[in-house]
Amino acid sequence: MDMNHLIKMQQVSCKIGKHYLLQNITWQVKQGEQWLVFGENGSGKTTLLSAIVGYRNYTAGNLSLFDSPYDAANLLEYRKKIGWVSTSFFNKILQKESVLSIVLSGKTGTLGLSEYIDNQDILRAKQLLQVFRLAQKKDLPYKMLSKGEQQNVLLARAFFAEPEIFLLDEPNSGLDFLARMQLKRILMRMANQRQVTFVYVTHYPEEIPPIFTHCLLLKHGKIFQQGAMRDVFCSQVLSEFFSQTVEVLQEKDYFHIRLQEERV
Amino acid sequence: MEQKNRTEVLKSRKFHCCCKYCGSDLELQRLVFSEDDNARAELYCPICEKLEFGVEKEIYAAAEYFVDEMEFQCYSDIENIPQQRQMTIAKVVEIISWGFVTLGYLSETGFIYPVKTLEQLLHEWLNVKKEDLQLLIGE
Repeated sequence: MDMNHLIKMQQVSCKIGKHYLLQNITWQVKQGEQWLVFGENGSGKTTLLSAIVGYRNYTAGNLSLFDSPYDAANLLEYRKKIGWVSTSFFNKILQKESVLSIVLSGKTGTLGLSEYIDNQDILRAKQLLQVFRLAQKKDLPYKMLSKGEQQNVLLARAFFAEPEIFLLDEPNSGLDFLARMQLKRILMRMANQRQVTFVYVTHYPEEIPPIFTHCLLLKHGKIFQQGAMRDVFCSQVLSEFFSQTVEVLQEKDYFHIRLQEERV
Repeated sequence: MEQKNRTEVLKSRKFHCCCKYCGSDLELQRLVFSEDDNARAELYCPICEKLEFGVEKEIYAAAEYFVDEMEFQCYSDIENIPQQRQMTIAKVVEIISWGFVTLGYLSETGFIYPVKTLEQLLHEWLNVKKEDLQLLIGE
């Protein structure tokens, strides 16, 4: 059977006490699709990704990954196929761990190591650290790095196992200009070659590389709208989304959202 | 390692391993909101306050002895002497562990017994027979 759905959520909710972090999320990501998840602060974007990689429980609904039901028996196998980058999640846990050990943990998709690593793993980790300009900092603790460097450590970790799908939670956050351009180039190359699928979370339109085929708008933990990028990430829908009139402009390599009041 | 065994392996390492930096006992901590131990449990050193896979206590003791008695240090650029010592021990631990793992004497579940020589390494070994030894010592 050909794999079709990388992620399939049906009526998924995530609730703490009486408060819904996510509510009735029904969403599917197919192989080869590139998804932008867009929403304001606190709209549930990070919670959505955390639930997919099993770092947060969903309290209702069904979730399947790679066309198989999601359960404890296959969770770690799934994690190897998912490259997850989220400083807002990892920064709560990683502090004094060395850069090299964090990148190596990408092998198993776990937070810490759980098996001895072999020579090939170390060589691969060093290559990735070279690509992300961290070769000289491999022994440093995570918390001693700048925000941009931390982001690059997580990117190197995500790339380690050559996953089938990347969940990128504001991957540009903290990156300097050159690092942003580098990341954009990497994403565009991989997306164009249809090697992997991206789910890219952001609330900054200027960060959005022009690779996305689909868009999911999240608001207050619920899906506001989803569909083809051109149908959803447009002036009309985003004006409803923000409850004020905005204009979506697409330049060559990025988007820009302008409030109508900005016009002179 | 099979996924179903991961938590069991970590539980077992909690007992036969220690922190490679400070030699302290490790804890098994649940770090994230998840119902599955495989997804949430990690080994953690409460003294160093970090995730730590750990190392066999025997290896740590050997590395500590080597560093202290041979006055070995490989981080001369670190001014903090206790930290320099810790990091040097950790590096020696890594080297010893690497050797044992590469030779097939050590896995994440502990020392492998009985020792099973890795076939692919045999051609790199020099086999010294009893007669060779006698020749060497001139008997």
